[in-house]
Amino acid sequence: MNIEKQTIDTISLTINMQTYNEVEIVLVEDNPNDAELTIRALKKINLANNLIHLKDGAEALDFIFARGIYSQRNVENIPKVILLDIKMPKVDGIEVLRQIKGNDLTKRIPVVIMTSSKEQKDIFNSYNLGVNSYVVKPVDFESFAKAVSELGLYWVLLNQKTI
Amino acid sequence: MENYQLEKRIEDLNRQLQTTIQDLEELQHALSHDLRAPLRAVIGFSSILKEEYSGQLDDEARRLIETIVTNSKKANHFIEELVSFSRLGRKHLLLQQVPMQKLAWQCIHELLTEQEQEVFDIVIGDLPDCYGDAVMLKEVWVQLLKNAIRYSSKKEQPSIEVNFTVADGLSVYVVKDKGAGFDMEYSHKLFHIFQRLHSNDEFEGTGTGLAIVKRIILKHGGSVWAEAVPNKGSSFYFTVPLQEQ
Repeated sequence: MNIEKQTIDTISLTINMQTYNEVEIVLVEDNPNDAELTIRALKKINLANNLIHLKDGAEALDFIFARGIYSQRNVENIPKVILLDIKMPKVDGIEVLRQIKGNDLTKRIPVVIMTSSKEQKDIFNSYNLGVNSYVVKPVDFESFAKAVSELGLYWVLLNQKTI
Repeated sequence: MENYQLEKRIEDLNRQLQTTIQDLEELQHALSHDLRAPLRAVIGFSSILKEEYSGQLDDEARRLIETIVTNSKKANHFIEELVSFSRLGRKHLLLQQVPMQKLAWQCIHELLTEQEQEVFDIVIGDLPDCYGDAVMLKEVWVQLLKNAIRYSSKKEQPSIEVNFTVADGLSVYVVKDKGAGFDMEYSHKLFHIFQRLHSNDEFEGTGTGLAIVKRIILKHGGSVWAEAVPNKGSSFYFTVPLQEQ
């Protein structure tokens, strides 16, 4: 409990409410190694400046719906993309997706599922709930870095953001 | 046994079967999800080490990192093959008329470039259509032809012959090559997953191809077998229903 509180405090210290509103990429990933590899790949193409890393589904919901420690965030400032892992403690990615796509305020935010497995059930459920893209994380590093940077370039630079 | 005892026995067995299937599904999920994440970290961080610190590393250090990366990739490849193999078992057949001759040629074109096709002596005889799952049967051709190509790679005049015969009332498709062959003494191992009759130094492979072939053919109610002579070549035979049954 203490450790969790501490991480949240550090995040709050490093990013103030002003920058919360400028977030372009929301990375929801519980595995710190996967998160580091993803952020590293985005940094290489200069896309990690306005990125926030959230460590589980519950924190993601707080951020997206401007609740809890993120209650000062303006919910109408929507990010350019949410990169969402499926398998996470507490609230999993499918549930986060369900809540985002089930709410008029947030349903237009592009959500990209990034997961380790090609589980048929997960793919079906994600598209059923309205996911914008579904990507299986490659295990090989070069392919992983390439996949992440292509995703970043597409959603942050190429894709026209919703209004 | 009394009727009600029999019924209870069947019920018990069914419940056990359900539990086993559930266990298998969970195992498969764990394999594809939980094992791949740490492998991605091993490969990722070793690659970063190599990329960003290569100036500070000598040749031996770089070779060691390369060994770590190669082996982790191999482990990942095994996991992928195992998962797709176990997924196959639960897939339902989508039955339709399948143009086997067209399918065989299609696989040849996908597996070999035009130049490579010229090196091989390729004969595909008259193959009748069969009745089965086209996607799965294509996988059968891919695996058998891939093997024929792989085990012919050290021959000067490699050849592949695909044909169809009727023997003892059975309709049999066959893929023949004049490649490395194998010792018939070990043929019982041939169709088991992760079993190989050649070392990786001789010929690359994981030992899933023929296990996949067998699984698909059995699902169609057919059978598959092989004959070979070491260094002279192999023939792989399979039967599948030709018409709706």
